[in-house]
This record gives sequence, structure tokens and C-alpha cells, in this order.
Amino acid sequence: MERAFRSESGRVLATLARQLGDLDAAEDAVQEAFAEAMRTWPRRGVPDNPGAWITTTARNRAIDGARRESRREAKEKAAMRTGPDAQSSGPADPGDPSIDGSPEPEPADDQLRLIFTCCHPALAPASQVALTLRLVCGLQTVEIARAFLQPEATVAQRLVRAKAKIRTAAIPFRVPPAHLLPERLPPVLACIYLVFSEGYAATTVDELVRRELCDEATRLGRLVVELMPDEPEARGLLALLLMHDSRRDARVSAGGDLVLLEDQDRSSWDHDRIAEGTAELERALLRRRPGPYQLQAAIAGLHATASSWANTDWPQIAALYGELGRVAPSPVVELNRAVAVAFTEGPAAALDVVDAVADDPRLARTHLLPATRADLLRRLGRRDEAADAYRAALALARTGPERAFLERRRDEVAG
Amino acid sequence: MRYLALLGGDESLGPAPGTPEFDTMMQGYMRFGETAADAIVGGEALQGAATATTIRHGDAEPLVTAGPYAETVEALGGLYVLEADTLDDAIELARQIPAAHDGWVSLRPMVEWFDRGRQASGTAEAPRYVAFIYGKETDGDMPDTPAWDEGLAAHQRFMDQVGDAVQAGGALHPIATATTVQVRDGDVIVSDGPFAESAEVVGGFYVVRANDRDAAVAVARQIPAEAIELRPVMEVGD
Repeated sequence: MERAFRSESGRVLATLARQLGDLDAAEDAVQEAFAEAMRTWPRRGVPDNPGAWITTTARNRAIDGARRESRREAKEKAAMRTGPDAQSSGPADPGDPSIDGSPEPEPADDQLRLIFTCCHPALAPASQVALTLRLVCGLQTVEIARAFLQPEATVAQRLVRAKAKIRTAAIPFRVPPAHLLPERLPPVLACIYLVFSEGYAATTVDELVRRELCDEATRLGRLVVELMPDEPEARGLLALLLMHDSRRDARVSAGGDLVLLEDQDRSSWDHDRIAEGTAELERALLRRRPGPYQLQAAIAGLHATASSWANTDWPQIAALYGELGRVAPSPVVELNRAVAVAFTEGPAAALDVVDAVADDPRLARTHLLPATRADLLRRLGRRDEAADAYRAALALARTGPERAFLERRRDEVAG
Repeated sequence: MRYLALLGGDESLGPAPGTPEFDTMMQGYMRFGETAADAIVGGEALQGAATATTIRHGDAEPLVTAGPYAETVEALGGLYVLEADTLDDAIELARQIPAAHDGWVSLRPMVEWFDRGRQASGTAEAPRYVAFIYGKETDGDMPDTPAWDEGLAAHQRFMDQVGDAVQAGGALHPIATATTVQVRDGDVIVSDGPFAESAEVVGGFYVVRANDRDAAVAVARQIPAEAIELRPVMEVGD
């Protein structure tokens, strides 16, 4: 029942937020509708159209709330001397079609508005992610806290502050005009990718939560593509998520160990997802505006369609990482490029690529650099140096499966 | 909706008055003044941070020292009060301010703003100073709280005491509502929060008219706040 409610609540909230011009009021109304559902659904059963039921109930609650509010405000205004600037104008779009009598926009458009509001660059990235999960995906605060291994109070406070900023600083509830999209779409895509990565990588979190985050991210990715079909990077992100997601079951063994791409059982990959991802990527590339997500999806696609690790198109992957490093420079990209270079030019050439970024402070706190070095040294037969590098990687690795893998390899080279 | 745009940057990198580079910079501000004329409600250019005077209130007599409240490389250089419907509109304005291109612009939603105008009294010729309110953010910095109302009453008493010495003033929403705007290589970088927490104006500011620094200090020390930074206004041709 909670699931039925949640799948609708993001949509309802987005529409109410536009109509009311107030996120808190919209959230309260949806919460009240939820409480109402909890009371009546067990007795009468889930309505045939739960979405319509929730919308109607929440809207009625919101109207009741607005009446209470306007009575309260009227009293306050009478009691207080307020200047012309004392009113903050809230996140309502001044061009709100529900005010000027134009036809109601599609609920999906409201969801897109809400995503852009939640991912406004004037909000910190951590707040963007929390807001998107709470308001667009309908996750409870406690679920977000669990997913990000943070105390519930921390997440709750982050949400309160972010909503206060949206209201007080008048962050608009709208999809930005075309000329602003190049700078406003990236945070939206980054937020969706972050939700996905958290679900994909955080192996310490229980399986159900991880699955949920990946599914929500993929749903959001589809939504943005549906609503902005002309944005190749949005489609590239969706393709990337689908490619990664196709390997979801293959990358962790029955015993919970991380299975590297090279050791995965390729027959257990979800080939429907790979096909869908490939189709999305091809459509994106037709626009001839490549970007970081399309490049990453292209790399993931080459892996996904290779018959084996050895038969992978490594020269093409090395070239794509080179291009990715050009459009979105990052030491992590260089480490990935090194893996491809190891196949095309050998581990010694790859080690040069790794050593070129060895001093980058952005790598100082992750195990990626020593782990990559260790593997290359191992292949070069430099066992002592490899063992040292595995130890360095172990000192930084966070999650259980990663640690187990590094320990196995360390014992191999040291033994 | 009104926003205070605080302008800052590394003073040592800025051109000195009287040089052609300084004139070019001023032309940039003139252009912004023309294109954004409808949105600009107020604005002041400040003299360098070295000309600042800071007044700190403690248990004893107020402590008056030379220099800014916080010694930072990225000093405050001026301000605008902007009228905009939404934060996006305010960001569109801020990105056109020259300081955004080599320094930063910090946008703060304002609770209120008043300006009696420079010609309102016979003191229009007097030099002007901006008195910024600094210090730890307290409950009194949260609008719609009893502590805020108390603070408001204290500021009203200050205004009554000093009369025409105050030309303009504004109160700000808490620092958590700040947004920083920078333009680098043509890209607009928008981020949450003030540019530098330590150097951020907390509660608001007054524009004070006084014949000299001592007279300005005498006015500013009556402002009910933890600390005040007084900065002489750079009067630019108008």
C-alpha cells in the first residue's frame, strides 16, 4: 500500500507545489492524504485509481489548509506593521498557467519543474539529492538517511534548510528557459547519477534500499528524457544507467563478494536493458552533441556488447576515455584510461598514465589509485611493489566486498 | 522581492583609481547601471578595506579599531540593492556585474529596505559611509521570531536617535539563504552559501551621512549589533 502511495505521491506533490506555490503546504497536504489513505484503504481497499484519489484528497486538504492559513495571515497582518518588502514571494511561477486560466499543464511537466527546483545550483549538491529523493521520488526522510548512512536528524535538517532557502530566496518553480539549460541541466543529471551511484556502489547498505535508489534514478532518467527528448546528454545518462543496471546481479557474488567486470558471468547480464541502453545511446549520438554521459555510455556499451573481457574493443575504449578526459578532465578518468591502455599498449605504458596523476589531491582519499597501480605492478611481475600498493589500497577501501577483493589479491602476490 | 548583491574580490589585483584600467572597470559598472537601471534600487561603491573602521560591542566600552571586521584577501568592494521576481532573475543581473567576472557577487534576499534619498535633508553634501552589521548569527537574525521583533524595535530606537544621519538601510534574511555568483571563462558558476563565511555581512547595513570618520563612528556605535564595519563610500560621478 505504501508502494502504491509512493508511486503517485511525487506526481501529486509536483502538481500541488505549482498550484499552491509552496512546497511545505504541498508536502503537508500529501502527508495528510497519506494518513487518510492509511485509515481508509485497509477497510475499503486500494481505490481503482489511487493517483486520482490522492490528488483529490490532497488538494482538498491543501484548500482547507490554505483557508486556515489565510485567516491566520489576515490576523497577523492586522497585528503587525509590515512594509512592502516584508513579503517573500515564494516559489510560485509568476506565469503560472493555473492563475491566468490557460489549460492545465501535464503532471509530468510539473515533475520536471520540481526536479529543476530541487536541483537548483543555489542549493548544495547534498541538499539537491535529498530534496529530489524526498519530493520527486517520495522517499521518507528515514529512507534517505539509511541510503546515505547519515543520521535521520541530519537529513531532516538539510531538507528543512533547503526548503527554507527555496522559499526565502525565491528559487523559481519552473523549467529554466532554453538559454539557461546548458548550465541548469547538468546539476539535474548529476543529481540523478549520484542517486544511481549511491545505490550501485554502496554495498554496505541493505539490498532493498540499493535497488530502490537505482530504480528511482532510472525512473527519473526516463522522465527527463521523455520531457526533454532533444537533450542528448539526458538520453546519454539514461543509456549509461541502463548499461550499468544490466550488470546489477552479476557484479556481486552469492556470497556478497564484488565480482570484477572481467570475471562476471556475461550470460547473467540483463540483455533487454543493454539493448534499450544501446538504442538510447544511438538516438543521443544522432544529435552530434557528445558529452560526458554519452561518452561514458559508449564505453559501458562497448563492455556490455563484448563477448568476453579479452575480446573487448580496448583501442576504442582507450580513445573514448581520452575524449572523456578532454571534455571532463578528472584523475579518475585517467585511471580508467590506464586500464584500457594496459590492453592496447601493455601494463608499463599504463603505469605511466597512472603515475602522471599520482599526486592529484582528488585521489588522495580513495583506494582507486593504489588499487590500479597494484594490478599493473602485479601484471608486470613486480610482486613486492604490488603487495605494497594493495596494502595502501586496503588502508583506504571502504566497503566490505572491495576490501575482500583487495585482500585476496594481496595474499596472492605476497604468498 | 529585493536582493542585496555584495561585491567582492582581491583588492590587490584591482586597478588603482586614476589609471586607464580603473576607468575601464568603471565603464563596466556604468554599462551595468544602464542595462539594469530598472532593477537597481540602490548601490554604493566602497573605498578600500584599508579605510575601514570596526566597532565591537562587548561588556565594556565599544572597541574601535582600524581595519575591516575580517581580514580576508577577498574584500568587500561594493553593493547593489536589486529588485527581481525570483533568484534566477537576480542571478541574471548578478552575472552582468563586473565583480562577478574577477571576484564574486553574493546575493542575499532582503527582509526590508528603505532609502530616504540623498537630497532628503540639508546634509546631502556630507560624506557617506556604509555601516555593515557583522557578528555571530543569532535567533534575532531569524525573521518572524520574537527575538527578531525585539531587534527590530532596537533598530527603530537607533533610527529615532540619529535621525537624518541615516540615509538608507536594509535587513537581510539569514546567511543560509545566500547564493554566490561567479563568471569564469564565460561560464556562470552558481553556488550555495556566501563567498566566505567569515567575511559575510550578517544582519544588514545602514548608509550613514557624517562629516568625518569620528562623526560616522559616533553614529555607527549606536547601532544595536555585535560588530559594525564602517566603510567610506567612493562617490562616483553621477
